[in-house]
Parts: sequence; C-alpha cells; structure tokens
Amino acid sequence: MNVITRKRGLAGLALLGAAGLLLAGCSAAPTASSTAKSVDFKGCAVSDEGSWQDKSFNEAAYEGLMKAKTDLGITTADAESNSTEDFDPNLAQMVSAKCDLTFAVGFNLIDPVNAAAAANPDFNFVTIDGSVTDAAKTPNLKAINYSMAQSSYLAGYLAAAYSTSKVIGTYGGLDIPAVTEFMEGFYYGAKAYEKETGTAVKVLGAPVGGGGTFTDPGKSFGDTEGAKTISAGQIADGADVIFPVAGGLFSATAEAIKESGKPVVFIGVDKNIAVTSPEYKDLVLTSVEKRMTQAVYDVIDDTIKNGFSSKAYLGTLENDGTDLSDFGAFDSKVSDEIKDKLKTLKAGIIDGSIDPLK
Amino acid sequence: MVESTLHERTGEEVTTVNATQGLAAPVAIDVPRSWKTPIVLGVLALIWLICFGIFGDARTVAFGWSDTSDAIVLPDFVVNSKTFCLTIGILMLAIAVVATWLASQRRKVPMWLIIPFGVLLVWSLVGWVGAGGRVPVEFLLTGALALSTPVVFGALSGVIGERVGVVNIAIEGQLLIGAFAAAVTGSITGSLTLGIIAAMIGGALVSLVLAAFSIVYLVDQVIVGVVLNALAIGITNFLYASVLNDNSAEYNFPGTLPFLPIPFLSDIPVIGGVLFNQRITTYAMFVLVPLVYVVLFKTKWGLRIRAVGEHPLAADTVGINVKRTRFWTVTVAGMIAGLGGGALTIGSVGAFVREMSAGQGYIALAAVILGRWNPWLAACAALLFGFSRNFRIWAGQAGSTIPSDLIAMTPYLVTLIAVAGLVGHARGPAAAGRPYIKQ
Repeated sequence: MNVITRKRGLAGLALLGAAGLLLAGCSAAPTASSTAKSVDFKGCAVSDEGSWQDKSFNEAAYEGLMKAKTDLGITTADAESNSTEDFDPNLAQMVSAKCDLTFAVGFNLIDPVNAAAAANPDFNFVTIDGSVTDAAKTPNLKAINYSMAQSSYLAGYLAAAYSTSKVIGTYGGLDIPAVTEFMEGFYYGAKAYEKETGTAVKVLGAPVGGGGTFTDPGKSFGDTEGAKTISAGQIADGADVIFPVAGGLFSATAEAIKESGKPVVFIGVDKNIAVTSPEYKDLVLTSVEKRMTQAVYDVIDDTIKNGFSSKAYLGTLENDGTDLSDFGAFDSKVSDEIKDKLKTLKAGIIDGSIDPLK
Repeated sequence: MVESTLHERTGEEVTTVNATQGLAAPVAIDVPRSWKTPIVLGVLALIWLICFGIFGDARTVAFGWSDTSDAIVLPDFVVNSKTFCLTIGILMLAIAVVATWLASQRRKVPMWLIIPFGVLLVWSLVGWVGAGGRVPVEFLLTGALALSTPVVFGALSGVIGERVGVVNIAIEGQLLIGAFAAAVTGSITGSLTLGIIAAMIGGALVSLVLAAFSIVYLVDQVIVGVVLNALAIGITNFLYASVLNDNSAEYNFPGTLPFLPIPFLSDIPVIGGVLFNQRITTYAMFVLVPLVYVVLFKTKWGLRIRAVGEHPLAADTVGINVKRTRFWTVTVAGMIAGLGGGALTIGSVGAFVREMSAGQGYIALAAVILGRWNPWLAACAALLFGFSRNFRIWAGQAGSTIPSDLIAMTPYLVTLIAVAGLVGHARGPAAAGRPYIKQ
C-alpha cells in the first residue's frame, strides 16, 4: 500500500470515527416523562467530586431530582464535578441556566455555594451536608443536613451485638465531618452495647480520641487497594463486622472478606447496598441510609407549592431522613431481642434521652 | 582505547574515564570525591539513632513471623524497642562510615550497601511504631507487595518505553483501560483468562495510539501521553455511568483470580506466603522483572532497543528500522501496563471503581527515574512506594502517634531525597522524548 492510499485510508477512518462521535451526540435525549402535567420549574444539581452514579451519596441526590422530574414534571439540569476546581464554574453554569433551585451536593461545596448564593440573590440554593455561613447575607440558601450519628449509633449497637469476636472495625474515605460523624456514631453505639452487657467491645479505626483510619489521602474514594488492605488488617485483628464509610469502596472490603475466608459481614452507607448492588447482598448486614432522594424530592415539592424557604432541614430518625435499612439476607440471624432493643434505642434517640455522640 | 559510549551510558555504574593509552605516558585523571551519598547516609543514621534509639520507646515489640494457621509456626521475636533501635542505629552509622571511607577513596558507594541500609532503616521504624504490640511481618510484606503490583507493572512499561526512546506518560491510562477491560470482559464472558487477555489488548490499544501519534505523526510524546490519560478517564467514566452502574451484576462482577500456592514452598515461614502463595498476576510480575532485564541487557533485541533509544541515527545507519522497533516496543510496553491494570481489578478487588488507577501510573514514572531506568531498581522503587502505603495503614492501626498524612507524604519525600542524594546524576536514554526523523 503506497503512502497516498494509506493516508487516504487513515483519513477515511478518522472521518468515520468523528462521524460516529457526532451521531452519538445527536442521539435522542432521554425522553421526558409521559405524565401530562409539567411545571415551569427548573431544578438543578451540582455534584461533589465523583459522579452521579457512585452508588451512594451523589446518586441518591440525583435520584431525588429525577423523581421530581417524572412525578412533578419539572425540568432539570445538572453538572458533575470531577475535581474541586469545577465547583465554582458548575454553580455559575446553573445560574446562567436560570435554575429555580440549585442543589449543591456535599460538604466540599460549602464555600462555593455560600459564595454563589451571596453573589446571586435572585436565585435559590440548597446545600446538602453543608452549612449556611452567614444567614443574614444569604437568605436564599437552605441547608439540608443529616444526623447520621443517630442511625450509625444503631448500626454500632447492632454490629457489637451481632459480632461473635466482639471486635468491629470502621474506616473512612476522607477525614471530613460528614464521614467522621458516621464513624463516631458507630463507635458510641458499640460502646453502649459494652456498657449495657458488660462485654468488652473493641472498635478499630474509629476517630475518637485522635486518629481514625482513612484511605490514602491522595486517592480517597478511589483507593481500592488501600481499602482492601485496611479491611484485611482489621479482619486479621479479629473484626467480624466492618463499616466502610467510603462510597463505592465497599467492593474492596467485600473482596478482603472473601479472601480471608472468614464469616465477616459489612454495613453499607447512604443507600441500601443489598438492593443497589445485589451481588454483595450476602455480605451486607444492613445499611445506614441517608435518605437524600426523599429529602431532595420533598424540598422541590415544597418549593413549588409554598415557595422557597431557607429553613434548614435536618434528617433524623424522627422524620425518617435517616435510618437503618432492613436486614435483608440476615433477617433471620438477627435475634428478636436485638431488634426490639434497636427499636427502644431509636425511640430513646428520638425523644432525646440518648445522645448518639456520647 | 576509549570505551564505547553505548556501554558506558547503559552500564549501571559510571566507570571512571580512562585516558587514551599508548600515545604518551599514561595520565590518570582523578575523579572528584563525591560526598553526597555518605552525607545523606550519615545524617539519616544519626537521626534514626537519636529519635528512635536514644529517645525511643522502652516497651517491648514482638515481631510475629507466622500466624497460628500456618504450617510451620515460628516463635515471635520479642525485643525491647529501644535497644533494638539503638543496635540498628549503630549498624546504620557503621554503614555510613564505610561509605565515607569509600568516598574518600574516590570509589562509588555500591548498591549492596545502600539497600541493606534502607532495609535497616525501615526495620527500626517498624520496631519503633510497633512498640507495645505485635508486628505482623507477613501481613506487612504481602500488603506491600499487593499495593505495589500495578506500580511495578507500570514501571516496567515505563522502563521499556523510555529505553527505546518514547516517554510513556500514558501508563495511567493504560492501567485504567486494562482494569476496565479485565473487569468487564471477565464479567461478560465469565472467563478470567479472557479478562487478562482483554486487559493486555486494552493496554496495547492505548499504546498503539501513543505510538501512532508520537512515532508516525511526530506529535510531542508527553502531550500525547497526557491527553491519552484524560481520554482513558473519560471513556471509562462514561461507560461506567451509562452501562456498568445500572447492571453491575452482569457487567462489573468478574470475581478475582484464584490464589495458586506452590505446594512445599508456600509453607516456608515468612517468605513462603509472600512469594509462593499468590495470584497469577503477581507470579507474572515476579517473572517479568528479570525477564525484562535479561531481554534489555543480554539479548540482541535488547541491544537494538537500547541503541534506538540512545542514538537512533547510528542505529538507523547500521540497518535497524528505528520506527518499527519503537512502534512494537511501545506496544509491548502497553501490554505490560495493561496487565498491571488487570491486576488492579481481577487480580485484587474484582469490580471496577471509577478512576481506580488513582495516580499510580505517575508514581510508576517516578519509580522509573528513581530506579535509573533499570528494571530491577525500578521494581525496588515501586516496592518502596507500596511498602510506605502499607506502612501508613498499619501504623494507623497500631495506634501510632505519627500523623497519618505525614506518613502518606513519605514515599514522595523519599523519592526526592533518593534522587537528589543517592541516585546522583540520573541520565536517561539520550534520545528519549525526541521523535526520529529519517533524513
């Protein structure tokens, strides 16, 4: 094949590739819902570092937005952030898209969303897992938070009760309050079991009294190998229930469990892992749910009906914003006694007699 | 006789230059004394002696060589942490003194002194952190090996690529695509062998693009590599979001390669479990490191590869097809990196997680330089990175007071110190990074 033919051939291939890419972009957009009603409301969301399909945190918020789209008929727009530098531009993009309500998903967006809310007083923002730094300056910013310590407390108690070796472990994907709240609640729940029954319970990796086990700071929620090593180490130290607070890294923990050959289980976070990832359901004791889907939907619904309110929303055991999911494959293995005890603890937390962070 | 430039530059140690003989009376040229290495060794030895020996922890530390479940159970080595660190500190100081003497003799400090120094350094650090508890030696070693596997593969790929003259920045992308291909193919076909083959093909595809653009179309190699990394991240993220996430049971659940213990050797107390009870990807790594060294330095092809990387014009004059050699060598390098990516998924955790290569491709490049473009040393450097990652995890578990972030910083600090102090004048293949344009 001489040079000219080869060049033409390569050019043809390149043209084919470019055409394919173009046509893929021209493919039909996801069809809008078939419900007759449609409301003139645009709900938008900016993700934390990661994607809308991380099987936990960001995905739950995104699903709330999509549910509002199908059920309430709103239009939506969204922006995935790949790194912290994308936060400000993504929020600005939502403003220029004339969004009626923009959700900033995640703790890392606190500063960008407060700045965006202050700079754009005509647009409304919601920060999930964040806080309003100066309510007077930003009446257009609402905060959605969750008392994850409450449901993690229940999880800790359950783990301590279920465990035979009375050694349980936890680790986090990033050393931020949103993550450590899970781990602290877990610790105190386990210690509550210890106080009550008098059996010593060892909690590995909890950030109480300094320290706490986290994955490689540079790799955080993508550190599969580190997560697996951490889990293997905790299993080698005798842990038979592990609580990985690290997004999608529970798959690495599951692999460590399989490799050890021991009957260890893990507890999921944010969503019911036994349902979203059924291939792991035999290892999932329960999940500590952060019901962001419902919260996002409710806030959109409320804003459409009653207008924007900057009153902070706190998801608790009481308003079903967070809770333990069902025990799935382990329902028969958790005794009725423990189930009743969990109900009592839940009531105690709701009425304030039990503090999940003590 | 002036020794050939090729031999001089690709040898591991810089040989002293001999003046031309036979013309007049031989004139010996004195090589200037290099005090860098002894100073670094001495300072480190003193710091270690003072911090961990004199101000050390007086509790006992038990080095646990075996688990109760092993075939041969060795008793733990229990020793007082302070005395242990003092002894090791003195040994390290002795090595530093020997290095000083060698430097005063204008001789280079050999690697077989530096590597034991490093081992002693690590051992005393472990002994200090583990004071008051038990040090699970086998766990530390297996963990270090597991954490360094993809970096070793990446480093081998980098060494081969740079030796032939193509800077392979796209190792990160090759690892990622290899991991993705292995996970998805393994899930769909149910066969892990096909997964491994798919991983190698995936890595080769990425390197084919790199080769095509940098060798044939003369685009800057570094730029192509960086773009390929971004492309790999984009493609895998897109496919993960659109296909894998919703159907994870069908497309992202390949399982993992089985462990293949070698009958008698895997029962050896400490190293048995580490070296002889591994998956096929780790065994492949054990084989590839010496294989790459032998091929590069002891065979005809290796000589041609290195010639192309050092002086392509000379190689071309002799009759070696420079472009073809570079093209195929880069493809092989891509296959090795792809295999490393496969080790990330089906060789370790099974399912694919977004951006799971997490910068290890770039660390592999650092390992290549730290290892002075030598497969053995690059693999050692990669092991060092893997060990420090494992050390951070274990130190946290052992309740060490050293802040976790500080430990996470150590491998990069070590690279800086090592490259500045120990590696010395690191000269890579002369023609690396420059495309060859045939006149």
